[in-house]
Amino acid sequence: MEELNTMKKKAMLYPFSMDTVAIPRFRTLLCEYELVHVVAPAGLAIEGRDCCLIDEGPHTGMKVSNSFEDALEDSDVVIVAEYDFRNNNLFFIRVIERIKTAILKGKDIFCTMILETSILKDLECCAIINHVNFIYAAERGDGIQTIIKHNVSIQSIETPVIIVTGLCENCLKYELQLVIRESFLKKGIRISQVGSRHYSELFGFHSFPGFMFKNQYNEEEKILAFNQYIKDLEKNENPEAIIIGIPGGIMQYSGRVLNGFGVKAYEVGCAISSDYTVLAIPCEGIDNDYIDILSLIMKYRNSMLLDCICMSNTHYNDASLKNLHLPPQIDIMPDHYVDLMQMNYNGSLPLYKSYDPIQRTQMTTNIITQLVENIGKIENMTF
Amino acid sequence: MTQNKPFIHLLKSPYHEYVYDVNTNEIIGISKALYDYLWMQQNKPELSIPPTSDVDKEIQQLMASGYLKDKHPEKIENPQIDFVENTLEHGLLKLTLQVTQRCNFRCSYCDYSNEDALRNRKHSPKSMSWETAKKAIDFFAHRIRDSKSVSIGFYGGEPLLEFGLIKRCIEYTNEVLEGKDFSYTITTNASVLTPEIARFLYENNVSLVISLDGPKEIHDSNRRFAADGSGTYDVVMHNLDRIREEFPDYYEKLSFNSVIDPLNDYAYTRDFFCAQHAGRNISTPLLVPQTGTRQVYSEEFSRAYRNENLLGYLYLLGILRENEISPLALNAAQEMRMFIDTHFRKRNELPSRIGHSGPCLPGVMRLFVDVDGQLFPCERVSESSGNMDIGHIDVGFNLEKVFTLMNISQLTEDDCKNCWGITHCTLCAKDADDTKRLSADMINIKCRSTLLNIENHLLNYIALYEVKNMIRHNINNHGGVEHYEKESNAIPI
Repeated sequence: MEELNTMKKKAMLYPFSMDTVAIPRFRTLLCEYELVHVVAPAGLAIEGRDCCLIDEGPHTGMKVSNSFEDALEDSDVVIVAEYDFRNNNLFFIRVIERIKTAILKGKDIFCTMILETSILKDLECCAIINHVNFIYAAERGDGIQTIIKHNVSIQSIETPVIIVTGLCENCLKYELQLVIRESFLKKGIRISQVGSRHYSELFGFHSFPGFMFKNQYNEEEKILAFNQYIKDLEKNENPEAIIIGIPGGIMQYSGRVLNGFGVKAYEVGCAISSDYTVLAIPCEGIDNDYIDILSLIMKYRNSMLLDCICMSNTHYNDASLKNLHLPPQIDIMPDHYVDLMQMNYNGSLPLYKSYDPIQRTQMTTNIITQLVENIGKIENMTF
Repeated sequence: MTQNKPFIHLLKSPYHEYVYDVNTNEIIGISKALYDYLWMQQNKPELSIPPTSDVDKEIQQLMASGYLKDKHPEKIENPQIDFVENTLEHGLLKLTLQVTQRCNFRCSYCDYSNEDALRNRKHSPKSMSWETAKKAIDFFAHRIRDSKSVSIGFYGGEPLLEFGLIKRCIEYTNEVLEGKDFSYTITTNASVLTPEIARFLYENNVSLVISLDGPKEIHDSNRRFAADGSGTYDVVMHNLDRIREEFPDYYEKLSFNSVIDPLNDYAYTRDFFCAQHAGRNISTPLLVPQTGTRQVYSEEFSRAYRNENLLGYLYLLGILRENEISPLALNAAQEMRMFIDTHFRKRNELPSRIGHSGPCLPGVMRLFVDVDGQLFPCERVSESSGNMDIGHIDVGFNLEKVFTLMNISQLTEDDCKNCWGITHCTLCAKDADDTKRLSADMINIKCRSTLLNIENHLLNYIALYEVKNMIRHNINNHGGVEHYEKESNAIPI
């Protein structure tokens, strides 16, 4: 009986795409579900092959299926993945129909896809009628709604804080957060974590709080509230390290890749002092001058000292950025091309390939080494 | 004063002098004195005298702002060659299937009707088999992992003569591309566009481009039935009228392609489209003369053509509204808008390694598959040329051919390195192809006219800027532009 209670529900992920490859890749971190099937639309053309082919990242050990019906038979829960439908309304309608089919067949739904209110209400009603659980994770929880009404100062966070931010989106920033989490948990380090994506609860940590996106609070209130939010996490969870992933990028990347203009990174930098900062960057030509400029921007704009850079194998397609009639597109670059882009950098900051399993380990080792050194320095300084 | 020769091109409007700075890709207003000095430096260096102190001061200011650099590219090579192989594996954008080489028209200007051996294949009864079409679709579907939005086009001859095959292709593609954002396009002469066909195309959201050259006399002068040489206008309009009755929503979304023959009355064509198809998307390519010949435009045609372009630019400036101009003028405005959007991106300086801007990524931007499964970079190249095929659906891409077509400017490397139009050039491998080989001579034939065309666009852009400023600063009551003031040296982009 005890064994049954701790058994995780069998889950399928649908519709799979590059945006959600982190879920099968880090499925051992899933708290309540055991991921047994990954179902992709036929257009991805990777049926029967490992999920990793979608982004040429580390092997996942899970093969992609095209058959929603077969996977549904064998699952208790459907994790509905966020998906970039673009103008493909027909496929969106098909996905909604399949969610309904799953509900009618008594399957629970964990929905990370952002839905219009009318469609959401319809699905929630259907779930109630069919006595299944419908968890809508797409809207970020407000977290701790602590809006500072009086003059207060920023509170110091005593626990080491690791910040993971990105030059832009789509450069494996979320995977880096999961890599650090996995590594720290394996080493038995107690962590509190806030993730940049809205479904981080799937992996057992907090999503970036919803109040940071609400219009009713001004920027000062958000900064103070975020500081309080992390302080409360520190008090309540008593972690040995805090990991924070920041949504968006540190600044506008181009005229078409706006990254929220780096507003969240700025706010977090005002709210929290970072003990170790990871910057995820896309695959592009870099040299020492470029990294120096990025370091200065992070220091003076975001109040963060850059500690390491992680280059992804994702690259914004130049033609799509220049042509206003094409949507911005991400290309996955081959490893030799990433090497080419790094060849002019020989600066002092460590530079890792964020998709390389060995270099991911080197990064987490560097983080722990650095934090331990810093703690030693502080202990030496205290009287 | 610098001894370097700045990499620039001088431009002049009736009101002002400008320099196009090649390194920064900007147009900067300069004084007449500086213009004259630079002109002498470029054209008569042996007569060139030292600049005056004012001119020298202006030069120093421009150089301090990053202009007048003398940097030229060191190597002519398309930088995308580093990863085009990867893009061909994962990032294709458009598939065009030549479903048939049959056509029931014999348009006088058609490449496939032309006796010019340099142009292309001839009309033939060949059609694509279902097996070849399916293979082509699968070939494409396995190479679009990184592509967010893709397009599938059907080409001919007259593609709707193979409607059965198109239908099968669309039904198959709907399955294999599930989850992708994709669209369909067909350009058709509309002679076999029945309501049944229109229904299917409508239900599958196929973008339809109708080839219609204008009113009956103009359309029929060039577009005739193959069977008996009779005009095709009545049949086309009858079919369009039926579409308008039965599928009014779909009819509103139709686009048109109208080949403008300078021998025809341009104003008549304009009035026709205004009356019948105002507000539509109409592409109006000028009839291209045969290789080695020159098109002579009558004064009447030239005047009417320039007038429509002017009206299009007045629309761009906000002086005229869309419903006040003809679709032809709107097309001119859209072309200018696209030119500004794609060609005027600032930079610090020219990269050391650059290809000229004409060539695409062969097979990526468009992948044209002929009836036999042969791969080409687009439908405009000669299918009978061994230089232009880039592979086959059974064996994949011929990378060597792709690299060659991408780097066609290596044939004229020294000229391109010194050409001020390098980042605006529209010449591509098609222009170098004489069907026997890829030739620098073929490029050189078209080089001058291409540069003149680029210069024309830049002058039109300057004209737009000047008129915009005149409007802003108000032409004084006595006419003229005494109070015309520049806000800054560089024309805002």
